[in-house]
Amino acid sequence: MSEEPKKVDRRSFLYVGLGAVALVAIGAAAYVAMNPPVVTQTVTTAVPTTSVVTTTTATTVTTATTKTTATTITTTTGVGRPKMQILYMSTYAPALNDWLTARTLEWAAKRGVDVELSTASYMEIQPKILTGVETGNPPDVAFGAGGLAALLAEDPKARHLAPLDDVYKEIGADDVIPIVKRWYTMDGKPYAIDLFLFVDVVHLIKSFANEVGRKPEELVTWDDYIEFAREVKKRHPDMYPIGHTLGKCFDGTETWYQHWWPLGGEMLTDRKSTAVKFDSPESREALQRIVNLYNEGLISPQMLQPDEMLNNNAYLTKTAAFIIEGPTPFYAAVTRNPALAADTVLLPPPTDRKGMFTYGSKEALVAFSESKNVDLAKDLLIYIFKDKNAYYNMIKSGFYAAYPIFNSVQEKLAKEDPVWKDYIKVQPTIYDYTYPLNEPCKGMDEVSSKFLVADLFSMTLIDKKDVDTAVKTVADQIKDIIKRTYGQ
Amino acid sequence: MKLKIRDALEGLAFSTPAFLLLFFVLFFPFVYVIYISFFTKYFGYEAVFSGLRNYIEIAKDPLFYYSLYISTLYTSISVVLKLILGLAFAMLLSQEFRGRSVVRAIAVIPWGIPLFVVAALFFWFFDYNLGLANIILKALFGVKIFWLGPDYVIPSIIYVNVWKGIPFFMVNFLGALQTVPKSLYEAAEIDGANAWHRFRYITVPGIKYVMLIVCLLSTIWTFGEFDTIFFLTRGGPGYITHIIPIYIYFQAFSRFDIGMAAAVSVLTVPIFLALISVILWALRR
Repeated sequence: MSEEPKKVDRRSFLYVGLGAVALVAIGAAAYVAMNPPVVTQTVTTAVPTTSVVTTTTATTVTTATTKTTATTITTTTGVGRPKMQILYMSTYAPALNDWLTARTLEWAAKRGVDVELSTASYMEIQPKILTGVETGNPPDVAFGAGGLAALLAEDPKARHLAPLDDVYKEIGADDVIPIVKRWYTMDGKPYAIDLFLFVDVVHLIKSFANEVGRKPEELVTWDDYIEFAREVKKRHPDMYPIGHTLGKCFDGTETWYQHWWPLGGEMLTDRKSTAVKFDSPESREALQRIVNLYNEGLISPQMLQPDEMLNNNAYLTKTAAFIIEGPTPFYAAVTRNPALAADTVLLPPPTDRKGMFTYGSKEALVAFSESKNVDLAKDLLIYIFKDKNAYYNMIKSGFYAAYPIFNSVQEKLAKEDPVWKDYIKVQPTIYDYTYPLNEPCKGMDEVSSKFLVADLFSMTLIDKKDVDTAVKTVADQIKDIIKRTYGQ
Repeated sequence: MKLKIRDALEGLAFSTPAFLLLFFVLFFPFVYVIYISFFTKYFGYEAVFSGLRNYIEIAKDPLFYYSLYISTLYTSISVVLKLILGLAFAMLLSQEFRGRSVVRAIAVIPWGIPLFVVAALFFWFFDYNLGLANIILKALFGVKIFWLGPDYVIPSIIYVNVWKGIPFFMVNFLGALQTVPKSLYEAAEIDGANAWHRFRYITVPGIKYVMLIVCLLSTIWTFGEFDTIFFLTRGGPGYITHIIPIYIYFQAFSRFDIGMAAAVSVLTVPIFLALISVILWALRR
């Protein structure tokens, strides 16, 4: 015999619903009443593998160690305090992330500000910032926005970044190295400031040099390095001695500039398509050289994968004799493989007929004009930079990974450390993808974000197109972007 | 029965929240994507009406057609392999043997692992120097392969998708297999049907609706998959694995143009509708 299903009449249903809502409200009120506004910092992670530290006092410095995934630190406090959204990129040198986080939380505690601090990997940072801007809810401060500064501030009608001239003034504008100011100055005002730069240097493994009877200091020009790589290859036929990334990624584009600039390659001299200089004999020569190195078996086919970690890993596993990279791989060696660090020498990038050129990866902090807390955001930036001793300690904690933006800090480091002394010497040769314009350029930000110059490698090495066609194709694409962006 | 006004109002009151939720979560974004696809819309800039320009530009872009091709290839091979292997495993695990429950539980694990973790696992698994795949290959045959290099990257990403997706097929097929009456197999055996005949004329018809639904869902998911491939290859080397979702991503976050990204998204809608129509048509038959 089947039982009649129990019916719930509408009135009871509504009563139960209202009762549930009332219970939740009473519970929430009780929770608030029992929890006076004590400063607590809670750490939530997006992925269980991320390691974090939680603290419960306002003055204690909290560190959050992140790998490549997102982390959010929230300081929950009393009513009426300003609350700031802060978004930081996590770098490959955790000590630098930790310093920035600690400095920010220290500032928040001193100023009585609540902060929600999120971190994102270098791949996630730009989409996160852009999405925030588009939805009208950007963070108050972001780190890792160097490649977006022109997009977000070049056009006065769509200027989303707050000018930082007062920040520069407070921290000593004259002390900031010229290229940093030039990269971010629009209509006479700077709109971003690099926390530091990742400046490319050669990571040479000494034991390979010793093995082939070469002294590291003798390696100066590209010819020297290529000859050295050939000698290593002779002794280790299965090895790929040059750790060049060739994939569509940041490091792939850096590989291009490392060869192209010293040969005389230039991108553009003005913001118009006719000023794009890419279709040049220097471009053909640089590409042909890299194709030859690949075909000779001096660069691994694995390097065609678009991944920034590949050259780092090639160095860390000693499957390449040298790489050229901002010294985060060296940082990894110092902290995880001291034997490799001891077997490494950091050298200035190889030169060619036009001299030495060094790629400087922009690692900028910005404040957003839409923010309700622009003044606090600027105050935070001043706090981060103003104490030069603290800044110096941060730079030191990066084991050469972070290149300081202050002349005074550079001078101090050069006096105490011969490695820094040589490293500081490359300062006038630091450029980015806008060379020789060296100014904010929204069109070039797009060229960079699309990794267009790395297409040269895939066209010639995967699609087997000839060098001339590849250079022409990429040059046309760059011209199209500049034309679309600036209308000329 | 005459519907009272009060009943109607109550019905409206109860259904309105769900309707609003659907409107804002599904319908509004969909319409907005279509709307914005007719604009040039850079992040942080005012949208400028550009008519069909985005669509024309996409139509002229050879990379779009390549992305469509590679997405279709990736999806079709992956789904067919998952179907075959999922069915094979399901039939195997529907047999009585000792430790069957344990094996079933283990076999489901790949489905439970988040995509990001799967990608990270296989990134190292496929590494040329340190990866387990090459360690095994070297031990057995004395060779190493660039798994994520130009020659092997497509089979490699298909392998990852199949590895992750088989349990979904298997679990559904296992459930469906339980519903096929054993008496049919017994009768067929008496009539002299061999194993192939039993599979062809009893098993397949018995689970065909489940097969169709599972294939439909898997096709939609695989075609729209982004995480694993982006993490493993970022669409490379070159553009070899530049599937449609990665093409859309780069339009949005490298070209910074939401309008273009929206236009590509709109163009993929008919493909999904066609797929769904085919499956629904098959289901009706």
